[in-house]
Amino acid sequence: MKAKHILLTILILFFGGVAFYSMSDMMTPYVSFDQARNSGQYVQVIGTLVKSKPVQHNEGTFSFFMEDEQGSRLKVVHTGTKPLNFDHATQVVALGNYNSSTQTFDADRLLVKCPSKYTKENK
Amino acid sequence: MMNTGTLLILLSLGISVLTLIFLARSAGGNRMAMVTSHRLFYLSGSFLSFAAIMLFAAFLTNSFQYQYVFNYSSKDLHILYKIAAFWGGQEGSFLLWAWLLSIIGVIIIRMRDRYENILLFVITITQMFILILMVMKSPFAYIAGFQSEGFIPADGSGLNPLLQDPWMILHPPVLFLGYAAATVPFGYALAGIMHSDFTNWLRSAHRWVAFTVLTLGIGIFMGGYWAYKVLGWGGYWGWDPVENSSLIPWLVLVVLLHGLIIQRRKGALVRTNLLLAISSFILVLLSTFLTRSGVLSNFSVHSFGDVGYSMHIIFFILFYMIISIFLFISRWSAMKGNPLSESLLSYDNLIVYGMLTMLFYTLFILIGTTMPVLSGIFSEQPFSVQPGYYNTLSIPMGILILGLLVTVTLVLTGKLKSKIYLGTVGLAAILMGILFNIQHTGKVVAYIFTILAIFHIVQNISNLVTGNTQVITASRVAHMGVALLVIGIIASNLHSHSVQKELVQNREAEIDSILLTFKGITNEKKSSLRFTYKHGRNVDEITTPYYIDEKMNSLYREPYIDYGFFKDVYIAPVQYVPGREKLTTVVLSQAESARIQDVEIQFLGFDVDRMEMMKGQVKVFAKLKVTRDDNTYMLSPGISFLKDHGRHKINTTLPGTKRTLSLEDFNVSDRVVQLYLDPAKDTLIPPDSALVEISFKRLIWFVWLSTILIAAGSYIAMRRD
Repeated sequence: MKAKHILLTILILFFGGVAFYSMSDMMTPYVSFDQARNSGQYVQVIGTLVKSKPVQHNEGTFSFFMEDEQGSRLKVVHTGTKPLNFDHATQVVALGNYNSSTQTFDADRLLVKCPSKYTKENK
Repeated sequence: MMNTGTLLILLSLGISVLTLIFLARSAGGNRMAMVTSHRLFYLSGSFLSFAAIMLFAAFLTNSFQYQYVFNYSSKDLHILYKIAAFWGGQEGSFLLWAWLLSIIGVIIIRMRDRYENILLFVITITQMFILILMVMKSPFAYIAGFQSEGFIPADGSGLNPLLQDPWMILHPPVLFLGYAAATVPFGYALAGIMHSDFTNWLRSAHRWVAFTVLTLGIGIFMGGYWAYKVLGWGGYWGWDPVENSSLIPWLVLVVLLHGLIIQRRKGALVRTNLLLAISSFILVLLSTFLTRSGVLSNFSVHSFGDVGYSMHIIFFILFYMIISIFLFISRWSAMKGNPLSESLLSYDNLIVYGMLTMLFYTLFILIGTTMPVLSGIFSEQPFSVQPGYYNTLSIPMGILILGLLVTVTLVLTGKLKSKIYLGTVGLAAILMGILFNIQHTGKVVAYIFTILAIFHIVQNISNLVTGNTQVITASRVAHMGVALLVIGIIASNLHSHSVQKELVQNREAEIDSILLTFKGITNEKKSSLRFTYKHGRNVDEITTPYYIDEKMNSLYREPYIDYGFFKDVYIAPVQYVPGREKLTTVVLSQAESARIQDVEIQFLGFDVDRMEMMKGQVKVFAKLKVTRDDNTYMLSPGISFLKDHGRHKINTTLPGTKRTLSLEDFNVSDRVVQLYLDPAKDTLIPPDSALVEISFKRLIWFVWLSTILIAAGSYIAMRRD
């Protein structure tokens, strides 16, 4: 009985440790561009695509301008493919860090909020 | 707003209330009440079937007076997608779910199950909950203006091109069948508690648990194949909240399936199994909440909007939770099972460790998935967790699960094999694991996973061949699938790579082992990019769809996949850049200026001519300051909109030349214009180019095969009593 309990405790501690370790690395708060600029940490910013500025493609990157909910604008550079429905997006969520040398927001992930699979704006 | 369809839903809801009353009366053994309740259940099911047929018919006959049909279909849609559009939106998928529950209820009645009464109770209540959602937002609601003016739109707004895929026909119904089936194990658990039957309930429940694991599993796997061939859904598995929310109840049901085996063997885990059966269903509802309420819409690739269901779903989850907890506590002391064996490494205990690991894994996935909601409660700034969290987590969890699988098989059959045999197999597995990885990755975890997986596959094959009856076939097949899945995940991630390349038209480019030439864009309405693709001795002319979907007004792209034995070559179009456009087109916001070749253009503002508005015509002009060779002109190209005739360009000519300056597009609210200017005489037009992403995905078919094995294992488990 004792051995089993010890094993169980070790197992649970191990699981907890693993979860905590993975979580602490991967928590990304929702912030504005200003906060992203100040902290330099891995964050996510929600905003809209600035349609008056061009969306640029280069080998390996894809960049566009985004305006966050506070109204400040920043160039976002995404290393990867442009998501489908990007042009149709009502909102864009960019995940990454502020890069002080290029003064851009380097996003490794983009989420596009569209009139969705299940609902559409009927207005 | 009442019409036949909505009336059918309301009638079905009303009859469900009556069904409940008669079910309650028949609980005491009243046969008449039982027969009546069955008839009522059939009746409500027939009404739902009529409603479903009506909705199918509405889609097939292009009845755009229904808002739902208008939103998800159009005249030119292929007939199969008109059928699939049925579950393209919330309202229709709820109807499908409710209808599938009717079918399951009928099967329960036909099987004359002992706990039929309580099962039907749970099914009917769940159905009512879904029906209320449909009353809140009916799939049969008329479009505005239909009833007052008889207005019927000429065409629907069309199905999102992303959903126009053969998987759309199968994936949602199978997944919903799994959701509907999950009601049954839950019902059995409640019945077991209420009748103080803590052991026999699982005899009948066993099949249903396996059936739910099978259907929900197949639904999830299909979603994976689908996501693989769609750009931007993050491959076959992206740990997206929507994907996770189906995976979580599935994992709990898989754990329950193992728990049932332990209870049948040793009479242990009585409370655990009841709790697992209950929580699996609550998690199905939670998944509905997460995906349908819009709470995760900022965090998911498959975004969903809020339509006001949240409170209703939360209420329903709480309703079932409170009843379950109350029942559970009231019978707590009575439902005591046998203790598990004292031996640390007994067969049963090893399975229990595996269940525990899986449960913790599930719990952590659940925490990750609900993090946006959880963190929103405690903090002003909600946050989400990234796929990296799940991937990091999966490494120790995966090694532990695989290690336990190997150990449990050793404990069970190890005695039958000689030490030399096991040593040889072990050595071979290590060797094969190293060979498999050595040229592709240096990551130690890849070697550990592969070695364990290969060892386990050999164990399973040898058990199958020798026909060892101690290990049931279901477990051999399914666990072989798990091991193969691990190898497939390692190969398709750690052994794969991708490159982005800009391909200039008609110029051959070499990417790893392939040669690719961009040949231009096709001239159809739904255009495609054409490529010549050389691989080995084969030369193929391939196309990848690339067009603006008019109805959705969004760019639609599709990859070309060359499925191969050693690897898949995945060619994804990223962007098509017409050479002429680079030279001639510019986007300007107000007061901004730009150069097109030798011409400087500044956009001053809009000029809207409403003079002819009465006749249904509007003209919009862009006021431009154009400078060329020190001469400045004021030009105003425009676009006119004539009612029912669409738009026409009103072009201007650059003075002193024959070059046309036109307004291509504009956005009044953003104050942006897109302008076009003919290139100057004798300018060399640069060639078109295409930006493509080419990925080499090694042995990805291992992943597909593994899902078939896991599904086959669940099927065998279902067939076995």
